[in-house]
Amino acid sequence: MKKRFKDQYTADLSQRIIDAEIQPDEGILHSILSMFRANKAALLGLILILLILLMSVFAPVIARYDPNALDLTSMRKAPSWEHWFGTDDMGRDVFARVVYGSRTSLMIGFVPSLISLVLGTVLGLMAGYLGKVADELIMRLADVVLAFPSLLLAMVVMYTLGASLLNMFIALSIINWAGTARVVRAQTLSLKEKEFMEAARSMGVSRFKIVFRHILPNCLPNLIVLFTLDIPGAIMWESSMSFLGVGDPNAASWGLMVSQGKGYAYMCPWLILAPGIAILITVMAFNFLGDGLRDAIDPYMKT
Amino acid sequence: MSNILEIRNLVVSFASDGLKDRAVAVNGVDIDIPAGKTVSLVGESGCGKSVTSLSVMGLLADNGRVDSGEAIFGGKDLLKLPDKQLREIRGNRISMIFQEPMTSLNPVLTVGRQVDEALRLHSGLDKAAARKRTIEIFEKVGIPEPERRYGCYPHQLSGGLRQRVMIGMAMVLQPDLLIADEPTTALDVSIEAQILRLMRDLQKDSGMSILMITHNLGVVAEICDWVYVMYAGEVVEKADVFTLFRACAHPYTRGLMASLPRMTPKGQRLYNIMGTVPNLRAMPVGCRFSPRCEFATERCRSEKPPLTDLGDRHLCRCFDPRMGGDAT
Amino acid sequence: MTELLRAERLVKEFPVKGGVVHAVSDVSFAVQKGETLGLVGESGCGKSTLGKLVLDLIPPTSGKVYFNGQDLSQFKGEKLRTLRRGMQMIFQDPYASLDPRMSVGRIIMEPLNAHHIGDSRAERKAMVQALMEQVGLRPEFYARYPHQFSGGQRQRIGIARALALNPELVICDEPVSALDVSIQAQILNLLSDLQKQRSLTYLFISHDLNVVRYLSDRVMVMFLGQLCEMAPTEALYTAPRHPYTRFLLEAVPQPDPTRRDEERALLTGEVSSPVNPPSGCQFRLRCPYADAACAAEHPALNEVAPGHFCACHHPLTGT
Repeated sequence: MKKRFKDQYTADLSQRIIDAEIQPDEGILHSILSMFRANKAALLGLILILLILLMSVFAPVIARYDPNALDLTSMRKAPSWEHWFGTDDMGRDVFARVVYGSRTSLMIGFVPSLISLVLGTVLGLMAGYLGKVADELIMRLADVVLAFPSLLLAMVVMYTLGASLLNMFIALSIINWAGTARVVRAQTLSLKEKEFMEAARSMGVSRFKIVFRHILPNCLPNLIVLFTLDIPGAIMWESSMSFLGVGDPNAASWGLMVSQGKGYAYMCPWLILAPGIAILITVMAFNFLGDGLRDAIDPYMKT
Repeated sequence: MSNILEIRNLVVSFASDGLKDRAVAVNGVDIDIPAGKTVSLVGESGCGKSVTSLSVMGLLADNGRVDSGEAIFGGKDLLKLPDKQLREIRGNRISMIFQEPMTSLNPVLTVGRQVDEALRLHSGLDKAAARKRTIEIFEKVGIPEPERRYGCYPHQLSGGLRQRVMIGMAMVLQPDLLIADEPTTALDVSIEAQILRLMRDLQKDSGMSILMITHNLGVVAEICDWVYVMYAGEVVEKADVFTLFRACAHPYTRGLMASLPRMTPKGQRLYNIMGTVPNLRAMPVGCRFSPRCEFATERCRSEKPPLTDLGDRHLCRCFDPRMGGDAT
Repeated sequence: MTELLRAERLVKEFPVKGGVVHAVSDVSFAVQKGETLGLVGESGCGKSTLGKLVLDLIPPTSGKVYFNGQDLSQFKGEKLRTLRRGMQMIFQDPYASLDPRMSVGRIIMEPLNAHHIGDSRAERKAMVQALMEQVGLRPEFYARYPHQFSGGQRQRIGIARALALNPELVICDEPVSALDVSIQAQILNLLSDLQKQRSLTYLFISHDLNVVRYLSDRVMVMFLGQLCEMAPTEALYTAPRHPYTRFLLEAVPQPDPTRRDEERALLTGEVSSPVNPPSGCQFRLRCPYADAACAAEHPALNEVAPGHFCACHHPLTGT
């Protein structure tokens, strides 16, 4: 009983007390900043992501070796001062490959997430705002995509289109848009019921403007969170697919490195440990950041 | 006359994210609730009226804290009781009803079952007896066809019926004190009148006390005996209801009364209190109402007026009550 | 006086599970230029729906709305938008009716943009700031966001937005019911000042009988989608002819404790559902005067005194 009474009142009270105050100029940015102050994991995530970004940008400076330079005289060397993460079966420096691999992996994280974000948002807005036939069509399509095991679907796409980086983007976009579309549709539906939508219509604002001036900006914070959480998802999918041998054999991603190193897992564990840990850290960093952003945005969205 | 609940010097504060100092929502409030009487806490949003009752019940939100004060109920200080004993009192001797009954009722249980459970938890009646008693109570709180309604889920009832169920649930254990927090605010006028009448009748029968928290002066006039007017976390005026409506003294109370559009003819301006309630973190020194008070002097702005007795236990926190003639 | 708005036999029905909601059934009325027509009723009586029908925010099931003598249903697209500029709405909830992601300036400017008013952004900005000043907001707050304002201030923003297109008719849908008493008085004064300054016409929808009395020249009472009484304000409040109006007036808790022990007739029963309402007079199930005639036939809205209309088979005598 106590809990329920409290729940009713916590919401109510904070509302009232806020109402009595003359609010300083603070917005979602402030809420995000104070989240970083309180949520150390999110801050760590942010720092790690920045470091990884720096690493991919300054890869040539950081790595002392060319990641593709074969050196048949030193194959499968254990980590040493010379080769920090050892070398692989063709004598390539693993550290350099991990550093350069961040470029591919980040691209694989960002590009399909961005595509599926745009695609999902547009379709979600259409389904939610237009309703009726458009809604049925788009949402049933989303159901089909979501009903398929994602990995299988992505692999089918890769097999059909051929293994290349571009096709990897397409495959990952196809499995990811449906989730975004669902979220955007749900939010559009709830926003549609808000009085300010009615106000806009009563003033004669066009439908197009209502969608782009009112609905989209209100979805944006959630989209940022979704995007942040989609990135590690895409990196993971790509790693799994590369590991299973359906990735682009020429794109030197971390997933591919693990896959190529799996034959020597016992003999030369650094071959899978180095890229594996890189994946782990990247994915964790994005997840920490995404969770923190979600916490920061959630209460803000209620008011 | 004995008091069933005495609140002394209650101070409650809230923490909020990112800010170091706590916002003091209730600042040194004294309230007496005489046995068998209805006492009203009246004031606008954020004045601390709900916080006062919630802190007495130990139901403050997690960021709230009672900083000092006591609330003596049956010889015990509610603010210092261990949780278990407080819960015992809360279910048994003090009951509470809220503005929106829907959020206080469990949506997946029938209303009959919920009242039943409250009853059995505290009285030890068996299932059949509890059911019989619940239906009796439903009848008493004016629920038509109580036996059919016993098996209804909350969403199947109208707002008025849900509030009746809440009152029934509050009444099953014959509490000594009923705390009603804006119980009729969400209801239509015709239903509001019914609920107020029901509360009056129940009080007459059972002799319980009622603490009525409301912003509606009409409701206050309708059922209360004593009135505490709160502003910015403090009691600014206390009087019996007849005195208050005949001769309220504090400029804030008078402003409130005068801003009611009850009899003002069309075209004439309503009196309005200028400005808005002060920020809890930036309370004015001196009288908290002084920035909005049209009679405020230098003294009001620098020195805090005490709650003084104007006679007949009519208290007022103002250096110069009734200044500027009668407002009403 | 000239007629600004006329609603003719408006009907709105919503299909729901297990029946049809008769939100508005056969309502006709007219609003004269410069007057305030109050519309009162309890929740679910259809008063908000009626407001939206008038504004053409939702299409009527049948019936017509004439604004300045023109039948709105005859117009489409750009023409309709231009015609509708003359009618604006102030909403109930000052929190939900403002887009939280838009600055105050943009909120008030939105209607100006939509109708391409003002030659430049600077000119529109000046117009917005003038509006802000008129409704009692400091123009410096132009770039602030709604969440920084209190409920009363937000309602002022909503009012400024409604006035931006310089409408003739403003539909106020419960504009003060979410506000505290002292703030409510500020907003009511503002509405009445603006009416004088801009010779506005109001359709003022509220459940609060005291507020409606203060602001209105004439008042309509609705019950379950139908008009039961329409009269000049004082006549309606001092000598109601429909039993429902009388019950409503008696039920309002008055801020006068000396009157609380007066015997008052209270309505019994619950607010009935507008899904499949009863036959004949919709109020008969709660009416002590109901008889066979009330069940058989719906009473027409008759003129019982000059300008005083009542839909009842057994109207109360005017006292």
